[in-house]
Formats: sequence, structure tokens, C-alpha cells
Amino acid sequence: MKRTSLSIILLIVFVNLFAQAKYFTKSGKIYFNASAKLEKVEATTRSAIAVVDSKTGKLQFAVMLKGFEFEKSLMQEHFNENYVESDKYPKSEFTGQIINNSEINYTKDGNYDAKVKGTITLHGVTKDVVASGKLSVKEGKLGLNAVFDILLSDFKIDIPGLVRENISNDTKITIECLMEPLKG
Amino acid sequence: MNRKKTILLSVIIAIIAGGFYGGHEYFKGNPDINNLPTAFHTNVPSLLKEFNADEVNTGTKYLGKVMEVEGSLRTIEKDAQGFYTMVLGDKGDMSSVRCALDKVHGLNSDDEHLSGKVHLKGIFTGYNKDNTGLLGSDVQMARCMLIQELK
Repeated sequence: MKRTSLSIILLIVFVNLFAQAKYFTKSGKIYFNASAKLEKVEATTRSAIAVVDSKTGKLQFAVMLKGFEFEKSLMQEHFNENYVESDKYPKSEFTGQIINNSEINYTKDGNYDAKVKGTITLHGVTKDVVASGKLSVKEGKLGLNAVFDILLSDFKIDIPGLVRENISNDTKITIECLMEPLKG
Repeated sequence: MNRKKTILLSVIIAIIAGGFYGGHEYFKGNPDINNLPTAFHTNVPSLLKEFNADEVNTGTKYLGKVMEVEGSLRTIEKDAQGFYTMVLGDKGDMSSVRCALDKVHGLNSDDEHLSGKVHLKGIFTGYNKDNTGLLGSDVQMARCMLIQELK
């Protein structure tokens, strides 16, 4: 019995030694789509910063809004100047928690469903958000993929009536990150 | 009558020309970074020092501006879609200047093995201050291009 207990304790210690505590990336990809009937409105940034704490499930993202690139120059200009006002609010952030963190085995290669709850700050407004995604563990790296929707009006980003058929208030956000263990 | 026709024709031509110009402006893509005038020319240590001293005013000064930066190349990252990021910074300093290359100005296979000092041009998009002490603070630039490797 004592030998079994000791073995279990040693196993837990052993597994935790090999489980990296934090994972990060500084080149996460975030894509948003606010396309409406008359217009395709989409942009991508590949410079999002993300950190995941595998022990607590805490998750943080930060993205510079001027880093979003559009196909059309005028659209990019309007996005920055009129909609998100990126001179005034240069950064958007997410802070949250993987609710089912205990169900994710960061030491075993595989794909895991993840449910995330937290707050997004955009355009000076902070709102609660819930999202589902997938965490994939492979060869010591952590992949995160998630898709969720936000309403621009929730963040005081107003779409003028004249362009309501061009820009959707309902915006789909797609996140793709491949994170490495954070040393230190 | 001729005068009226001339005026009408002029108005029609003006409308068509305006339409073409408007369409051109509406559909045009982002200008090539190579053709944009540089607003600031600096190096990595000076830039990071400036942000450390006064993050807010330095950010305001550079936000959205075209910059040329020289510094030691720490690493070249390439994502699954083939987009490059060149990371500049001194060894032993966790902070860096991260330059996401424009897809038009990607690297060729020889450039992927660059080392030493480089000279880049791009648009400043923000400064991410590290409050954890674990990641290092980063100056972020987008739509970058490699101007030259410095000997």
C-alpha cells in the first residue's frame, strides 16, 4: 500500500516536471470578418501575443489594431480612423480562463475541446465573452484554434446607416496560434 | 444649343472621370512600402530605450509611421502560410523589434540564413510592454521589407 502511494506521488511529480507551465507566441494569427451583403470586409494580423498558463488555465491575448491588414487601402484607413479609432485605442486585449482546463492533458499529444470565458477590451470598452475552441498538444507545442462572434455595437463601434449593407455589426473572429513553452 | 450640349458633355465627362477616380481610390490596395517616404530612421537599442523612458509619447510619435530600423538580427520566424517575421534585438535583452514582412517582400532561400545586422523598413503598429518580466517588451512593425544586410 505504502509502495503504491509512493509510486502514485512520484508519478504525479514526474508528470508535472514534464508539463510546461506556460506557453506563448508573439506571432498569433487573428482574422476577422465583418462582411455584409454588398461588401467583403475582412482583415488579418499575424502579430498577436498570447500566453497560456497550463496549470491554471489562464489565457491572455494582446493585439495591435494597426497590425490588421486589409486588401483595400481605403478600407484599412476607415477601419483605423473611423471605426476602431486605433490612434486613441491602439490595442485590443483578452483576459480569460479555460473553464475545462482540468480536462486537458498538456503532456499527452492530442486534440482537446476547450471552453474559454473572459473579457475582451476593444475601443475602450470591456465586455464578457464566451468561446469554444480546440487545443492541440503536439511534440511539446500547443496549438489554439477558436472562432467566436462579437457585436461591434457592444464596443461602441457604430456603423452608419449608409453602409449597413456593406459592414456587418456581427463580426466573426478566428484565432490560430501555435505556442511554444515559455522558459523561465 | 451648342453651348448647352457642350456643358452637358462636360458634366457627363466629369461624372465619368469622377467615377473612375472614385473607383480607383475605392479598390486600390495598400501602397508598396518601398515607395512610401520614411518618417523616422533609428536603431533597435535607441528605439527600445525611447519606449522605456516614455511609452505613451513615444507610441504617439511613431504610431502608423513609416520607419527604417537597423539592428542585430536575432531570429527569422516563418509561419505555416509562409509569412516571415524578422526579430531584431541584442543578445541578453528579451525586448525586441518584431518586423512582420509584407507578403510582397518575403525572403528568398538565401535570406532565410541571414545573420548579423540588418536594415529594415516598415510601419510601426504598436509597443507591447511586458509586465510579467517573462516575455520581453516588443516594438511591432508590419508590412516590412528587408532593405539590406549590414556588414
